[in-house]
Amino acid sequence: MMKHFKIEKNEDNIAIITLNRTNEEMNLLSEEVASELSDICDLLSDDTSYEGALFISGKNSHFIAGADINEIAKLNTVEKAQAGSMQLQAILQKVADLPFSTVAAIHGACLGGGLEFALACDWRVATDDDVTKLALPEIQLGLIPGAGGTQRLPRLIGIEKALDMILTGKKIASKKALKMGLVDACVPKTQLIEQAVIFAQKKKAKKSKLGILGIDLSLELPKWAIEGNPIGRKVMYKMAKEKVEQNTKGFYPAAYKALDAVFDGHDMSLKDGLKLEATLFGELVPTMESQSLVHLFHATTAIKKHPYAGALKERFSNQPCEMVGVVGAGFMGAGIATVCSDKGVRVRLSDPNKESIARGLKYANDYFKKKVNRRRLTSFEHASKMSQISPALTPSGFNQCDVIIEAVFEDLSLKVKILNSLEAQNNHENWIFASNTSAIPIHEIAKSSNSPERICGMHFFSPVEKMPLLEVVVTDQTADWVAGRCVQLGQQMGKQVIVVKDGPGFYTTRALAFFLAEATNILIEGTPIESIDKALTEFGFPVGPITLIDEVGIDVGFHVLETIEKAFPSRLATPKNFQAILDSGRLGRKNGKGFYLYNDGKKTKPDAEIYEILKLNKEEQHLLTSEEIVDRCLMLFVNESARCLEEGILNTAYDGDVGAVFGLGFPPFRGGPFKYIDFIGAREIVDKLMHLQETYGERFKPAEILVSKANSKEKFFPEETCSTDYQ
Amino acid sequence: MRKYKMSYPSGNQVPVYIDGVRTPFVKSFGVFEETDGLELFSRTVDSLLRRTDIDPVEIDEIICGTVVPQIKNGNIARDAILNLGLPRHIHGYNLNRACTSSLQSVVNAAAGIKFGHHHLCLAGGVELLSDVPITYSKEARKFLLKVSKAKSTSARVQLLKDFNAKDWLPKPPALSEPLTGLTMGEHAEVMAKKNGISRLDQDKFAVNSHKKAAAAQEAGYFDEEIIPIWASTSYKECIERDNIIRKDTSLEAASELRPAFDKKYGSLTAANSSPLTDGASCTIIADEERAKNLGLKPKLKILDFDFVGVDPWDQLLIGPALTIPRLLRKNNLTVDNIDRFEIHEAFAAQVLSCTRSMASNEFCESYFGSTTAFGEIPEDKLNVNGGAIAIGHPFGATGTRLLATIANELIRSDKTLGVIAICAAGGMAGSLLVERMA
Repeated sequence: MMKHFKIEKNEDNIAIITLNRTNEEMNLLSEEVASELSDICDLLSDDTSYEGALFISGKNSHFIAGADINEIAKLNTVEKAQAGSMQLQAILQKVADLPFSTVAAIHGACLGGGLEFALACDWRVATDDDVTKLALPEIQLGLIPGAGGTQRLPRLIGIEKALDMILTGKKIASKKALKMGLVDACVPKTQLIEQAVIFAQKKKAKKSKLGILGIDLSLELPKWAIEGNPIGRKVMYKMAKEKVEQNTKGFYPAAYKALDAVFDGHDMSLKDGLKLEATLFGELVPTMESQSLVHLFHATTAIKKHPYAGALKERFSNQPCEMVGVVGAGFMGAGIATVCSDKGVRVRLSDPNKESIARGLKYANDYFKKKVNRRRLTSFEHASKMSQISPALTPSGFNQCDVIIEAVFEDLSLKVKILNSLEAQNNHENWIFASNTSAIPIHEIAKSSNSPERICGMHFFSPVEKMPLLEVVVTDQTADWVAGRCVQLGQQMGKQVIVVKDGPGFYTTRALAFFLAEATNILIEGTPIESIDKALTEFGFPVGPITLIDEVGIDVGFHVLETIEKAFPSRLATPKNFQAILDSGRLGRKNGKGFYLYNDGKKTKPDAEIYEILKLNKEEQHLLTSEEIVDRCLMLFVNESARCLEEGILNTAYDGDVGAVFGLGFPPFRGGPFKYIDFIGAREIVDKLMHLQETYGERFKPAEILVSKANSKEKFFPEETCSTDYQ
Repeated sequence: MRKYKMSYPSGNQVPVYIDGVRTPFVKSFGVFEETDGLELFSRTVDSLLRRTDIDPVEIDEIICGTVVPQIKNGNIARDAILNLGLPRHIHGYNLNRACTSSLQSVVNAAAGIKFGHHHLCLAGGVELLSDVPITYSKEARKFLLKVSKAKSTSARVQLLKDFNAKDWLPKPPALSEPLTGLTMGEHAEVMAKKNGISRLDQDKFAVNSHKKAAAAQEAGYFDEEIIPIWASTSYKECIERDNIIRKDTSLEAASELRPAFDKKYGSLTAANSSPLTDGASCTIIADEERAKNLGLKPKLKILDFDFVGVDPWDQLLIGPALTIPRLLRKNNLTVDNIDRFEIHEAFAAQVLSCTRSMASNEFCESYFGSTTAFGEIPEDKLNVNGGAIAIGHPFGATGTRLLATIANELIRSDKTLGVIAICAAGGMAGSLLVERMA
């Protein structure tokens, strides 16, 4: 008796096989499902009455959403992972070897193992619905497809397109999939079975490398000229490798393994290719990189289920936000307005400055224009999205807004003034005021409100349309439904949303401040600017700390450091003569003068004058090694993150990792500060901190929570696999 | 999805005007050249909703008047709803009753409210004369349609023998009457001669219109009705003032212009005619009781309206001289009862023809059979803040512009009754009687 599959025979003797995992929301190619699939193959090949088969999903939103990530994670050694891969390969080979035509009838997401399953069928028929998307997203988990994807896909659509899919994990809409030969038909949803049956009645597809009949030679010939011969492939390999190097900076082994699997596999028989794939896949599963990315998958999944969902549902019964008010059309306000409008949330924008609104609208317009050029938007949609940002010089008309986001300068009294004036004219029962700030304490703003429970912080990152994180900041008084509504809005905007408690610098700004302050301390002690930046980019940060100060603006950076220093005077120390840098008229990239020199807005090299301004004595230079630099900056980052968890600023360690990776550029392949601690071991971290404490003082004193984790040998994520031999 | 209403909440079926806004009225081929009618009209709708802060789900219908069809959007009213992402149950249509178009929008909304059909309507209009459709000749169109229908190559080749290059010159649109063949200006020229309106009187009227409009602009009287526009595609500047009004114009300057329509014996010039203008305007017309329940404060009660047709071959734009007397008589009112008149200024000669005709025994006898003249409209009641000659005349948007202007004027001057009258192409005119509420 089948648990997940159902087989029906239609009047044409076609087996219609429906996968509908029992008691599960998602159809995954789990072990149980795979073994049942194996049984089905045996059953079908033994029964000669069948003349074809089509596989279809019993779920509405997807065909098969991939393998079960938790099962993969359990394959924690190279050998186990290889065996797992080969097992699934063998089952899918059974599907491919069925004595009649097989069709994957695809509606909705068809991802990873799901697509590999579809590739093992003779034909693929997809619906033209918007939800139908095909992809091999394994790379996003630091893996390569391990069930034939790296072998069958290039054989079907060619190396170039296959590599693009495997290296980016991008989702392909069904119309495009039809064009590139990934599916054989793109049909209306209501005709899916009918049309799939027609394919099931055809002969088994012949997998010819270069078709003659019925194939567009104008498309095939150039492909053949490059991919069809070894020299062409060699050139292609070289180019692909350069591109991978450029994109991954060498931090992600999966991309290289993907190249090997596709190119080497292409010259082999399918059987040998599959074996190669399994070997490479096996090598990737237990890597730190893959474990970190799998961790981030869990983390981002976990934060979606935020603790305010209940209150949100109760008050708004899952109605999404329809309109937001944005006060201030500066860089942040314009960015927030742009993203909201892009995601279908109407915006009422206000700013007393006409030029500011003009710049804001132009900002949005440029963003949408780019999307039109890339054919992501039609010109009507472009006009519509612009019309849905309503500009006004006075902060009026906010009564219909689900959330009002204030995005003016970082000035407490201005923010309070705006709050008070809006509060006087707005009084609907679901009124919410959110302040976009990176460091101003939310309770200071809420203090002057008549209804402090309606006040919270929404800390967006700049530029809003590119940065994936939103930090929602709640005070002790913020109502749950208010926090929930802001999280919901952030999610509608496509952000990873973490909710943190109000406190100096919240989470992200605070952790960053300690990190940056230490970098400046190292600089003052005499290590050159470029060495500091290099050490941390080599560790995996996208930019070094000194470059980052230039990017955010030296004035802004300073202000933040000062604020955090005031809150934690015993632990955070910025060099005293740093004010001199600001006094020298340096603001960073924005005025083309910072720690670095800029030419036409492009960073060139460190400005040697900095050392003079800081009055560094060349004789007493204290040069640090890369490892020492990383240790000092990172240990403070990690330690402060731990304190935030300890103090309840962070709800969970997941929040901390998501915040650091998506907001601060913490290397994703290291999983975030807490996963990093798990990798290294809390004991080792505490030892390092204590050692640094001896040399450099109290600021390295380990957080209590770290000491206790070290003593109890506990991990932050005990349920996740974590190979501790990576450091 | 929002649920549809199966039945309307009850109202008292008294149509009221809540508020109205407009874009600045600007010279065509100027600052609005790059935008389109949909964008301008959408901005007025959006601003009204924002200003009144009502839940858009309360809106039942939207009506937009446009005279020269817009290139992309045949139904700007409905398209504006979709463009703005407003609730999709709000239906609507575009209408064209020449220069009375947006007056007709208001009348349709008000009439529907009288019927209890709907309760909250958006009524307005838009005209973007910077961007109008340019068509091919009938011959060229016929040729293209035949080619597209032809079934074989030989049939297509056959068609080529009828090809005539001359047919392919595009035809820019003319503001002329299809039946009389005369342009609006030429018709107004006929009226000037017939009624003996001198060049000097016309120029005086026009200069006066500019002076009054400039004073009103300076005093900020239009601020309440104008919304700032940052127009696509550059969004680079904030346009917040009408740009046709000329404070420094003078009789001398006006007198120097050459006649525009009848070069030899004419008296109409660019100075005493309304210019080509881009702009949009929109109003909220509601059921009084429903408005009250929604917390809206009406500015005007809409009491009555009237439309007439006249002989286009005689005096095309004389309609206001007929519709105003009819409207007032029907409501048992006289000129003395009315505090403010807004008679649309297509041409100075046309306004003067209308006001003089209403004061003329002869005219009133020939049209109404009454021996006494309807009456003279005192200068201090007529177009006190200037008119279209100075402010501009985006055809489809003028009616609701006048409504917004008269509403604010009645409130400002603490008066009660107002009349709007507009002449229209085709030999028509419409009028509206309103009473101040706020």
